[in-house]
Formats: sequence, structure tokens, C-alpha cells
Amino acid sequence: MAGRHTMGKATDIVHGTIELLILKTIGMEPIQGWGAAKRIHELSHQVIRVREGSLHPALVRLHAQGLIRPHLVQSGNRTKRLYSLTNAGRAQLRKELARWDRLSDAVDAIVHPEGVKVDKV
Amino acid sequence: MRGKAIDIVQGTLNMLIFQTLAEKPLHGWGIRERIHELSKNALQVRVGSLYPALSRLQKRGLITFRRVRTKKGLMGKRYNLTRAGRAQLRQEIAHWDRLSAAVDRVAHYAKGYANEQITSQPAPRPTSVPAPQSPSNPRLM
Repeated sequence: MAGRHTMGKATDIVHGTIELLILKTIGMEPIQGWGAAKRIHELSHQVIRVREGSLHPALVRLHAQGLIRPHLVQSGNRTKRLYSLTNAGRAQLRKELARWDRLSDAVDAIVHPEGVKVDKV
Repeated sequence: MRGKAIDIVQGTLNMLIFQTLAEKPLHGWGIRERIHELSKNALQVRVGSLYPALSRLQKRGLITFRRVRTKKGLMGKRYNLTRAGRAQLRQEIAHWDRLSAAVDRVAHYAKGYANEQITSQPAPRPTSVPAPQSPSNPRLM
């Protein structure tokens, strides 16, 4: 999680979740890189957009760490590169989910001390 | 407490500093202690992140400080939230709620698992989150 982006915004903390979100969408079904970004955008109700400039480096990193595996699939006269999770990727996804829940619950406990937020139980 | 405390990143740190100062004026170490305590020891602020952040927030007029003598007789800065800081806090909480709800929607999406073991997943969170107010302005990541 780099802390050098937009100061004073919660964006940073979400920035640190990009790998979690990519692992999550790839874990749902084998998917192309742009497809993962599209799904994140859709599932977040258009709140989170993963730019090409963040997506590609993240995929390279996840692949280098052995967390995702690309495979080429012939579709008509085009070759698609689909990504799926490795076993290590699945374990990492669980770990990052737990970390996010713990972090976001802790932040919520501070900014919503009366537990006024109803969508986080 | 499970695992070790998580370091807070910059953007969220500002919001948490404002929140603790909204309760009462505090010294730097008091802010660190309060964040640690309110988060039930889940969050820790590094000294190397806190003081630069306080200095930036003060330059932006969001917090002010008074020099006061501590119990040990040392001079220290006690920080106070300004009116602008209070407004900024409200804005940042709204922003955090919107973004964290969006991450939750993706992270806890439970349908369409083709190669994920559903039994190992935590129960999905209720999805009664308010719809984002301006879908035309997605946060760039």
C-alpha cells in the first residue's frame, strides 16, 4: 500500500485493495485482464475503476508471485489470454479478504463509534 | 486481536487524526494511543507517518496546535481540529463509506463461483448499501 497518492482521501486504502479485487474477480471464473477490470467496475456499482496503467502491472506482479496463471484460449480467429487462480492465489485471496475486513472494520469502529452504519455488521 | 496491528496508510490516517481530535485536543502521542485503542489494537500509526501528517494538516489549516507543558515538564504541541478540519472530516467519512462499501460489494460478491470453494467463504455482507451518488465519477485506482 503506497501512501503517496491523493492526500486526505480514503482512496489510498482502496488503492491497496486492487490486488484483492483482481484476485477475487479472477477467482470467480477464468477471465481476461480487461474483463476483471470491467467486473470490478460493475460489481462496485461503478464506484471503482481500475485503470489500464494499474491493471497491467498488477497482473504482472500477481503472475510473478505465482498467484495467477494465464492460459491461451482460441476464440474464432483470436487468441484470448484468460487468467485463473493458482492454489497459492486462492490462499492469498482468503488472506487479503480477512485483512481487508479487519482493516475496514477497525476504521469503521473509529469513524462510526455508535455503529450508525447499518451495512457493516 | 488477531495477527499484528496494521499500519495505516496516508489518506485514511488523516481521517482518523481528525476523528480523534474531534473528541478533544490531543498531543501527537495521544492521537496514536487513541487510534490504537479505538480500533481495539488493530491499527497502529507509525511515528514516522504521524508527525509529517500533522505538519501537513496544520499547514492546510485543518488543525492548529498550542504549546503546552506536559506532566513531565516538557513543552509539547497539543493539536486541535479547526472548523475547516471538521468539515473535511465529514467529507472524508462520506468518501470512506462510499469506497469501502464499493470494495465490500466486490470482495464479498458470492455468486458465480466457478473455482472457489463457497463453503470456505464468510457469509456475504448484507447488500443494503446506498447506491453511489455519482456513478459518473468513479475513483481511479
